[in-house]
Amino acid sequence: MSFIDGLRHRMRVWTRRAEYDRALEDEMRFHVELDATQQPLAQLDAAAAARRRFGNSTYLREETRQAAGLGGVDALRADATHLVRSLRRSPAFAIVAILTLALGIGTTTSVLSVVDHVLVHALPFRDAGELAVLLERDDRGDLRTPSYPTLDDWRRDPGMRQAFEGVSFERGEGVSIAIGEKTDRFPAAFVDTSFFPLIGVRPLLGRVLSSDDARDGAPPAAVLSYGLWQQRFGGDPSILGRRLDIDSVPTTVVGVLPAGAQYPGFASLWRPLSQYRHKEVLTRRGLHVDSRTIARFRPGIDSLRAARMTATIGAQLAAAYPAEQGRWSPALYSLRDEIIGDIKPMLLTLAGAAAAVLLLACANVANLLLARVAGRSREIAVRSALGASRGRIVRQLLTESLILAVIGGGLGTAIAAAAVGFARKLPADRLPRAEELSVDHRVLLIAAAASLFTALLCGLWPALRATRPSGAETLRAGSSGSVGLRSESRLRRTLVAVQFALALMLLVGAGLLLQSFRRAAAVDVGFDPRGLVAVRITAPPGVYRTPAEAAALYTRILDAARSVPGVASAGFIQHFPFGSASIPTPVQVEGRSVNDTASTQVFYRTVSASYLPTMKMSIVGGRWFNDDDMRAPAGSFVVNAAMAKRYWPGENAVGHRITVRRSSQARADFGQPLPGVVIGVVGDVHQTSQDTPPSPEVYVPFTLETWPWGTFVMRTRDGARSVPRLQKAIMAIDPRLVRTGADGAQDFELVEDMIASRLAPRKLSMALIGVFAGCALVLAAIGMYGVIAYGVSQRTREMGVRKALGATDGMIAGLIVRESLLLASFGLVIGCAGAWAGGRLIKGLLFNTPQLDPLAYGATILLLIVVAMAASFFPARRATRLDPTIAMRGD
Amino acid sequence: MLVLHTLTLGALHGYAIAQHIQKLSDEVLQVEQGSLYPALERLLQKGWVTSKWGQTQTGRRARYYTLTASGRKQLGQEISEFDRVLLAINRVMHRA
Repeated sequence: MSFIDGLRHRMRVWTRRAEYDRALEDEMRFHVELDATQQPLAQLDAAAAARRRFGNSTYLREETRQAAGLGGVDALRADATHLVRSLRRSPAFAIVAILTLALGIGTTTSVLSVVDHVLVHALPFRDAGELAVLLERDDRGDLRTPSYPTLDDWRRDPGMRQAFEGVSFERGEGVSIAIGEKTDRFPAAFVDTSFFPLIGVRPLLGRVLSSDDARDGAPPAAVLSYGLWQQRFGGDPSILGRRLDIDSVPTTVVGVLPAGAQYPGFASLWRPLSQYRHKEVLTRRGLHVDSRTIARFRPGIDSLRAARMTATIGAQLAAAYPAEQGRWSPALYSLRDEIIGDIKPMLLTLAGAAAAVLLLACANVANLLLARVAGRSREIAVRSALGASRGRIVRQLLTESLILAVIGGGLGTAIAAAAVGFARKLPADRLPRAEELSVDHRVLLIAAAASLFTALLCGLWPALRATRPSGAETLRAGSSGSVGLRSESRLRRTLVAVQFALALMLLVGAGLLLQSFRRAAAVDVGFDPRGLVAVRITAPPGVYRTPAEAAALYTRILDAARSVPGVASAGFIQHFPFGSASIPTPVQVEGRSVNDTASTQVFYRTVSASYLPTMKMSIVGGRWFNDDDMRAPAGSFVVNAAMAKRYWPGENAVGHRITVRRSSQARADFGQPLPGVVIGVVGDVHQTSQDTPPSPEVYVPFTLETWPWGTFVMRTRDGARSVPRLQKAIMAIDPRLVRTGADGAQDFELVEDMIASRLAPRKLSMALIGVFAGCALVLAAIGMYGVIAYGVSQRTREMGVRKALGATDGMIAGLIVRESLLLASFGLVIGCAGAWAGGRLIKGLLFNTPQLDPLAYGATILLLIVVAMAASFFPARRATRLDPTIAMRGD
Repeated sequence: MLVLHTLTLGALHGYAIAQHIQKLSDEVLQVEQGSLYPALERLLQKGWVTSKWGQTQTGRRARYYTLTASGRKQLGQEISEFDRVLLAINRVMHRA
């Protein structure tokens, strides 16, 4: 009860402070007046005596207010007023401190939010960390996908069952869907019935595929991706139950997956594996198609234990099927790594850079606060001489830093929110599940706590020092009285050196990435992309089915393309380089044992004779295909330089007989041997991107194996402007032809754009690190300026003496600039060591650039020296303009 | 303790409390009368007394303080504690 009564009283006092004050005064006056009437003395004296008996009423009123807990409020209000007044006097200090904090908190929080989102939350699957991708590895470390019969054996193996809750299979293949008048190709994933329960994705609409859909005679069913549903059906919820014409089979849409929740990432729709047409994929043991095998670890099983448990089945199958399974055993990979693997080093680098910027910001704030307190040591001394208690002064200084930290933190949060809002709009291929991104509150808390801690520490420590009971000395010392504060200035110098070190690390990192980008962009891709236009064309379902029909169609398309004005030449290749995929084939060289070459795979490209001249590739030896080769039934192949080097090092590859395998999984003769002679060697072409080295490759006449679809590449005079004419000419052959881009785009693509887009991630990471490095540079410059300018202001009298004794302006300026350079070079030495150590972190991001790239280091060091000199320029100029008589008189 | 004990007489205003304490202690406890008010504020904070504005006989507005139940309990504890200390002192001084 007493607690409640007390609390009620407290509340009343707090909420009605003015009323409380009035009442208190009233009460005390009443007391004194009453006392006076009780006195026997004359009126005037009586009042005075009563007042005397009562005591110092002002003091007592304050005392009572203190007891009521209002003292803190008063002090806080006074501090705030004082702060506003003093900040108005030196707004630069407040603005710089607040902006520094905001920048530090904002960038760190937003970048780390993205990093956390991608590394921890981006996978939409239940316990995504427990999902593994299963492959097969041979004793030489080569990898391949398991064939479906092998996977079936795995499923029945007790060791496998002990390690995994389930094993599921997915096979991707393009399908044609007729939507309205138009038929388009879409990538479909054919999955077995355990797939959806295994990865644990819930549908947005309807249901996922179930075992009922796999029963014999079940109606064909499909689940759509969010993207396909939105883009092609306008997000219409009545899509459920609708019949779509998929590869000319009426198929019912039973569900839609939520945005981003798609695996594999390329898929636009999912269909039961039971409806997959190419049954040989499911029945032939030696058939290793492009597919995915996913498994989920049982609770408590990690990849190491699982690897031991799955070793048995590998050995059993190798013994049972020596031809297909000899030397191969199951290999486990984390699904998370597969999806986010290639951006992980970039994200970690960004996180490191963000942390460095936060550190820099904290150092800057520390510096500013230390300088400010040091500059106010006299003010503090005066205040304590006038009777302010030590606690009161410390509290005032703390309130100041606290308010700065709170404003800076608020602004930083706003910056973070804005940056995250921007990142949310990034497309899914740049940032998976971007729309679910939010400011990470833990990161925000850590960043805010770090800056708050810095502000408090840097407010408290000098405050305690400045209020040591030696105020009289400080008062006497005048403006040069930095005697007691020498250790602060040492601390501030150290902070600036650290800032320069951090800035150097970030700038070197940015420089290394810039160098890598420039070198990657300058790579000779092996052909001339200028003016090249590419389009992938697929025949509509049910027509041009035989190889001969398809080959005739392709020839007609090439002829039609060549007849378009402005088109110099046109060529055919099934998978265009820089496109989304390449198909491998095993190679057997005549006269060598199978074991020697069987496991090595090379990329398989079927081409027209016009392909090489259209691309303007180089010929290294022998010759390229001519029209006779296209008509000849006997095999003749052209290999690239990388393949020649691998199989015939130091020898001429031309004339050797090799056997490759037919590689179109959609054709019945898939995997059949295709023997032939190497007639020529061509220069390497980069197949995936500028920064991955070319792989061995074999070119096969498109008439020898005719792919069911293909890419047509045209050399044009005016690039994009010839596209409408090309479109018209090609569609005139057959309006049912389905066009897609060579790189998954909707239609014709400019090859130059396609190539440039390969460097987009590199460009992005470079730009982001560049932003951080720029922030760091500005912060370091501010820090340096602050320290030097403060030093000059403290040494006004010394400068005056020097000038009076005959020091020239040059000597004075030199003194100051030299000090700045000395500080900077300390930082640069530490920074170089740090950059060298940190270089390992970004090693994976570098391309043709050594970790100790002299240009990156040299330019950075030069830049920082210039910045250090610039930062000391204004203080130096101020020092040289001092009037010695005024300076020496001091205050 | 003195204030709490004084308030066992009933609701009193500040001046009356001060007068009472002074009179009872035969003017021995001569303190600045004003220092009563910070003390009263502390008692209010603890919830041992409550206050209410009322009228004096002369028709003036004054603040009357009343002992609460918990204040009464506190007083009891303080008295017994005081007695104990007093007893101990007396014993040391060989008076008991």
